[in-house]
Amino acid sequence: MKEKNNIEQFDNLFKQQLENAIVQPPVGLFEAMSSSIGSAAAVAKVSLLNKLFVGAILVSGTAIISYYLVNDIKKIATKENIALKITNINSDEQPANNDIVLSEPQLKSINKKEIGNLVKSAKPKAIVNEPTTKKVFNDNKSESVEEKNSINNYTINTNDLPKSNEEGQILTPKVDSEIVEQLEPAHVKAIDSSYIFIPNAVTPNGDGLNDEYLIDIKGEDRVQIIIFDKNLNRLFETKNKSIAWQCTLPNGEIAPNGDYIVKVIYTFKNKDQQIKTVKLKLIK
Amino acid sequence: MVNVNADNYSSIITECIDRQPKAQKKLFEILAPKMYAICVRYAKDSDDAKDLIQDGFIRLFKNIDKFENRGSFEGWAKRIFINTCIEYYRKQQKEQLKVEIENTPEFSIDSNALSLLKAADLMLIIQKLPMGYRTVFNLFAIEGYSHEEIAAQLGISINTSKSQLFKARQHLQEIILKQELQ
Repeated sequence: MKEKNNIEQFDNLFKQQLENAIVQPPVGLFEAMSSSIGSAAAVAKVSLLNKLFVGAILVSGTAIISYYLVNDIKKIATKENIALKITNINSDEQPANNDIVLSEPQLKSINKKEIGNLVKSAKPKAIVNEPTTKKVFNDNKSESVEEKNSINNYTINTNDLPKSNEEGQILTPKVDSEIVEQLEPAHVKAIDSSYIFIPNAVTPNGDGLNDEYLIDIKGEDRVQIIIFDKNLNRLFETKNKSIAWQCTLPNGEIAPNGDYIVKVIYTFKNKDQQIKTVKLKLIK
Repeated sequence: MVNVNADNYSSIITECIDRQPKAQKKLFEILAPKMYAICVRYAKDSDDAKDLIQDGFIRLFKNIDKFENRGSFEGWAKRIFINTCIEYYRKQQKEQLKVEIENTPEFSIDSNALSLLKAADLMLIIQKLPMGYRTVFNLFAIEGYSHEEIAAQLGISINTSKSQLFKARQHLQEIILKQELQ
């Protein structure tokens, strides 16, 4: 009991001395922030600046988007080209020469691997650091033994094949090697932009802070948010991540203090679902 | 320090809603010393305290039209600043590692010795606390929040809040004793 009193005394001392303490702030603070509090005089300038700024963002944004779009289209186009070229070679040219027929499985396997690499490099989120098998297509005659071995892993033993110089020339039209060179993936960095933060408290008291309940979600995946009260009555439901719950009951009144349940159903792009349930505290 | 009673606030508030720079400056001058004291208690250094008071005032002026004449204006303003500080804690918490103090011996301090300490000393002592202890102690002892409220606001468990408060007190006593010895 005595200890409790001591503690109370201790806390009280701080409370008495500091609750209404006064510390003079450094000078010039108000002037430094006057542009951000929207003084009537500053508003005109700010809004003009904002317009300019937003304009600049829009312009640069569209530039960036169109750049990526063009790039993507290029990628897709070249990818299809290659696929077409490869099928052409397979179907038309091979019967003409016995040597090539021998190497058909080899060619196919290379194609598969090559396409695999292309597909990988086309995915925005993947990290592609492997070297391409560009050299296989290369008509350069000095292929190293290692590379040949790696081909062997896929299909047939090159020892049984005629020396690869001849095939190499026949099998690889120059166009292909150029395309492959273009598509050689640069180091694509993985940026996982998905992010979710589910707050566990909301205070609809009109002080401008946490007056509405908004779950912070970034990412392209689909999401469904449902809010229940203690008796599991549905109070709010949305599939739009930018809509906040205004802490109202179905009849329009502001919800009373207490605990609520937030259920977030998160559907990933690959249709996987993750459900998260959080207790929400409402304090006015 | 300008003395303003409740009636005077209402006229300033209406002027601030119209975003009149003079009124805003006046309100800033009236409130800043009190609010800065709050910010200093929560911030880890004076740079952060400056950021906090600016953030708080930006929010205050933005939301001043939402103030209903239910309670005192100063109380409402204080709450905005405390909320700003709580948010600051959350941001900092993501970056910093927990500082644990184990085996701190228990000791009680003579209350007479304590009463000699002035606000300025106590302010300095509080600033020496680690972030987590400081925030919980401020909220509990000075702002009068309950452990439940603290837990909800800071996103920690009630037991964490309790143990942080306990450790904060121990830490404070340690700092005070050290100062007395010097």
